Amino acid sequence: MFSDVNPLMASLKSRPGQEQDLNSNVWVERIFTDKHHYPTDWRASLPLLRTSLMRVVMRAERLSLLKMFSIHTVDVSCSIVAALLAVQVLNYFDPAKSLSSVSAQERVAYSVFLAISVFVLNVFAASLHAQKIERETLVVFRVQTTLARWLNSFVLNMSRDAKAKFPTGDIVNLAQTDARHIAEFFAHAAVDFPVLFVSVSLIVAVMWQIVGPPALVALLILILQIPVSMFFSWLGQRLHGELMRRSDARLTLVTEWVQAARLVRYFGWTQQFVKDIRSAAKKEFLQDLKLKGHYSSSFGLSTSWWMLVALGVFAGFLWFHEKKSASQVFAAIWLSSILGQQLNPLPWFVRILSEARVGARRMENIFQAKVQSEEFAARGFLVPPEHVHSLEEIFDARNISFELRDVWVEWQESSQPALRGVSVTIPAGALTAIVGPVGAGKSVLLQTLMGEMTPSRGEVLLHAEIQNSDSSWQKIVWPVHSAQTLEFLRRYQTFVPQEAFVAAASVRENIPLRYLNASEKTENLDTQVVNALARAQLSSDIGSFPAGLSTELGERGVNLSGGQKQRLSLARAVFARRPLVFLDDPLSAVDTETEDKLVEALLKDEWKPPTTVLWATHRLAHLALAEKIVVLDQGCVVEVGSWLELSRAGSRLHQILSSLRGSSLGAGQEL
Amino acid sequence: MSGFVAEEKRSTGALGVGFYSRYLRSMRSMAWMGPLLLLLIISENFFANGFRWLVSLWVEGCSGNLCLEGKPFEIPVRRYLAELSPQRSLSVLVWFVLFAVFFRAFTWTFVTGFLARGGRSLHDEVVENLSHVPVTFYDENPTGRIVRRFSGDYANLLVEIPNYINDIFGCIAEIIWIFVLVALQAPLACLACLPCALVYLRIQANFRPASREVQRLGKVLETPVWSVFTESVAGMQTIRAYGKADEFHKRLGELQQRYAYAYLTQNRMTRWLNVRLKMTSEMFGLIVTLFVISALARGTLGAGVAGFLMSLSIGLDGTMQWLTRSFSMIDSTMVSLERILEYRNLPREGFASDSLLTSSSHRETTRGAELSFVNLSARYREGLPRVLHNVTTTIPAGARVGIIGRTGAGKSTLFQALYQMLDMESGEVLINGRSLAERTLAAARGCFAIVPQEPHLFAGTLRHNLDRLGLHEEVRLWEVLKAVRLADYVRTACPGGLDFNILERGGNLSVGQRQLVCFARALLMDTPIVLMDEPTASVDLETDAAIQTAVKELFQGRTLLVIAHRLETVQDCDLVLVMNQGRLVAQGRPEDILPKWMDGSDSNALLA
Repeated sequence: MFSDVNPLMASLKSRPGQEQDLNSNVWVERIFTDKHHYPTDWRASLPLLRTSLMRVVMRAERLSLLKMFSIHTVDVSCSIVAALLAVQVLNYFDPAKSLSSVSAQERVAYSVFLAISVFVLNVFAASLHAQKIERETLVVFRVQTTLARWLNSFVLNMSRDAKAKFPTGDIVNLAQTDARHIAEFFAHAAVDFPVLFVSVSLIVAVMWQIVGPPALVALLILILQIPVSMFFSWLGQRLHGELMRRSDARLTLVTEWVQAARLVRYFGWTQQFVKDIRSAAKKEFLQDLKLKGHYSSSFGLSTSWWMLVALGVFAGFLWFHEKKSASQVFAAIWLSSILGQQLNPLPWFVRILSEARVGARRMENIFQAKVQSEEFAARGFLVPPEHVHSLEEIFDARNISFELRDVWVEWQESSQPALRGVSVTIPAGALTAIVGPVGAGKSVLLQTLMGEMTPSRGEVLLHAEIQNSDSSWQKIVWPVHSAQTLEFLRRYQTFVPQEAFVAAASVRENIPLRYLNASEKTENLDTQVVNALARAQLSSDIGSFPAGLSTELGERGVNLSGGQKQRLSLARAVFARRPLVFLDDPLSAVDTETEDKLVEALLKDEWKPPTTVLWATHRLAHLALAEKIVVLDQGCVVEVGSWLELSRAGSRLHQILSSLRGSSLGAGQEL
Repeated sequence: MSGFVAEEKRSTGALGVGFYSRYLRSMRSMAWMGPLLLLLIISENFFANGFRWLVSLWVEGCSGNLCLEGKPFEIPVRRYLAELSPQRSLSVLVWFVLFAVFFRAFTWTFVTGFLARGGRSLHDEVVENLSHVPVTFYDENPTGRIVRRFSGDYANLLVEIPNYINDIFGCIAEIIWIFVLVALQAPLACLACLPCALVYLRIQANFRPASREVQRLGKVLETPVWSVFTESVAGMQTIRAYGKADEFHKRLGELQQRYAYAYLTQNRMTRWLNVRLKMTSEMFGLIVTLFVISALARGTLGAGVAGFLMSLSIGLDGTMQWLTRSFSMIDSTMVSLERILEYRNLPREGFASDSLLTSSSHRETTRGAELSFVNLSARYREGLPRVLHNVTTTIPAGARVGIIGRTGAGKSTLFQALYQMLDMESGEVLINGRSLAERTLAAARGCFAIVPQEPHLFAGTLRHNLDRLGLHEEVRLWEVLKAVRLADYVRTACPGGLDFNILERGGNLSVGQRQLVCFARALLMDTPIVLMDEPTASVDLETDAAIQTAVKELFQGRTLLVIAHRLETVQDCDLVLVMNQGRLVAQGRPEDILPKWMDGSDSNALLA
């Protein structure tokens, strides 16, 4: 009877709800502790996810589907029996069937008993049905969230090349739409469809008993509904597609108009835009009207179909020269109503089956992509087996250096080489600057060192020292592109990307990249966060935010400027306090004054030696700080050396510098 | 900007009668259309029960004395059906059903279509109004928020709200019919309706507020699930560089679980509702059946009508459920209407004196005009700090003026002041000695052409981008394209020439070409004064040269104001204005100004 929601309902009657209210529901807890049969992780069932995703879900849900099937069969049977009993009541009083053997009082007593039974049976069926639907929604939720979680985790482990093929929007769409289709298929169609067969055959059999051969006519008309509603659903999709196109056309106009609001007024084009938008709205409306007509006819027909079925039975009476009686006629009406309810969702089942299959195929497609460890293994990059066990041992983080040997890296998207035979070493405990014009391959070099991009030729090696069990130090050389090395590096490195990443969370959570519970104490954390913010020259910005460190960034919160995002990203790197720092042109969106301050606080202080810093930049100020400068052009190393060596006349760097001084005074001297 | 982004309206509480009256009043011709719509809805809902009623009369025929002693309104129908041959009577029923289907489809289309038309006229009014709001409105409200009014909110107005209103009135009409039919056939059984109605209202009153709250919580809790999902996919590289993939994965699981509480509670409450509504409708059925049995036993009712009455409760629970659902759904879409009405009633911009001026006030025809700022002070809107302080200067006709200063010094604000997009605290702007305030807004803005810093193009044809209003001859368009040296490119490389289709934000032209199109656009406007915000975006050397030449040659003779980012531009000028913190701090010839302001480290900053 679901009365356990009564207290919640009573309490929400007069006041707004809060999240804690929801926690009072024990049955939700029960659901989470409920046994289900999903593998703990996508890794466990990856091979099957790649080929037949539907089977993974089927295996996990088969028990609950079986339960739903049994419940549903029982509740439909109850409704049929109830309808039969109701017909029996009419039967008692039907003049056409003279039941003279029964006395009038007995008749009344019997029929009252029957009426009460009908009531009880119907209520019982309804309660069973509600339980079945509750299980349905559970299955929908479980399937969708599990698939979404797996997908998310899988994507976070994907190789960069594979990820490049799937735009973020597509992946989100997979989790939101396709996973939902799969879930709905399992929750509804996978159970209701078999039940449909059972119930339709039952009802037709019962009808045959009561009205005889005319039942066949009813069945015929019922089946006729299937092609009719499929036709309507096909038509509806076409009309809807056109509506979407028109609505998109209007929205494109509106978006342009809003985005360029100033320009439109500068040019005096306002009225023209208003006119265009209105005419687009009119076109959309006319299409919507068509669609409304379509839906109305389609629903009008399907909600009235039971009348046609009943008429079929009546026609059957005529055809087979049967004599009609009130009880038979109403039995026909009752049973065809029940049938109609069962059959109504049939076209939807067909559609959801095809959508679920399409969705499953799309998901399989993404699961077929390589994860990083597979990609490395495929190219033969492996940590020497004798070292694998020592990864957990103490690692001298100050001594990480890199060596590139004739490294070639291609862009997956265009298969154009981005690095062409780069051989260079990155010294430990010092600042190395990587300079060059836009598109020279600076980012690619960093990403290769971080293991994000995998070379097609050549080797990227990590040099470090580990402590043996007898506390002696042992030099090791590992390929960067191996699952073990990467896992390791990620504990020691920080990264400031060109385009800063801001999570839709508070400042306090964004800096450590860690989500906090509402109850967690944050004083210690706050001190560190504030320090990091100060170093990154963000203190005054955060100070002006409405809620300080608790200000929610991203989606609904404050919109940060490009420069603020970059400084946030820098603060995150400061907070992490790691011995290895990758900076991918983090100063491109800050003004020169701030740039100077940042260089002072970060490069000269926070990350001074012995921190190993790799700094890709296309600005030329402050290059003198670098111990080593690598000049890249078109994917090749054109020069390597210290500032002193490279700034003398005749060097490539010097050429670039002097050509710039002459012509332009662009912001901060850019290449 | 972040400082004054305005808060967005949120949905609160339940719907009052106020909502319906505001909604219906916002539609034209509701006064006489309203009753018609109601009539349609009420008659449409007769048919389902009407069919059963007709069948019951048909099956009973004139047996006994029913044709003589039955209910007066039934006798003619009974006689008519009884006199027909079986085939004819069947065809009458078939026609009845077909008409029912048609009438239902027609009513639904008509009612929802009419309400949707009302939604569209609201949409048009919003568009009209937004074209007149002060332009700072667009700074205070993120694009996404404004566009949502036109996507989600408008879709609600076009599709959802009409459907809900149709459903609500339809369900009520059906329940009324059931009541009426019972009252006609077995007046005593009406007593069954009363307790059932009370129980229904009680259940509803418990369900709706709780459901609304839980639904709202569900929405609040669902958003972060997808935002974490999206951002962790988009920011995957940073996340795994820090080794935080598990943190995000764990977070997603937690958020899903929190959302599950709302989602599952909502569902359980709906199940609660379903079971109770079913019980209510079965109770109704039981009571009616008991009355029917007693009437049958006494012989005052035919078996057909008895069957008809017993079948009334079929689908009654469905109707009640639908009614409850529609009520709660319309609760949650109401905020859409509120938001749209809010945008319809925003205050408009324009001079107070606008209405006094004729729109055909004279246009500056001279090539180049004298422009003076007299003691101009302005702010973005009332209540915000000043952004221009006492700017006073006179720019001779045909002069080239370079404006320099740090980021935020007020250079582009100066342009906005010319376009009357600021709140003028004091002072005025004169063109050829005549104040801008004496012109209509359109005429004042018509004195200037602008080349923005971002070379923004609109999706559509090249022609559309140059001359959206279609004011100019084709020859003239080619002329300006030629002047900016784009004509050859357009002729050879752009399929369709002037009808070449430009993608959103000019995606299929290079930055330099977009810039040139912007020059062409400004040139086409043929105004005495040209404003230009020099691009900082890096373009290749060739394009850069083309742009430089274009600037020098094209606007010869016109008064040209350039926000300069390059030394060259400033050196060529007749006059240099130096802005700092909204003040004009220095002005003069470049050779006087530049040495003073460009020594040492300051130079970069001034040209930023």
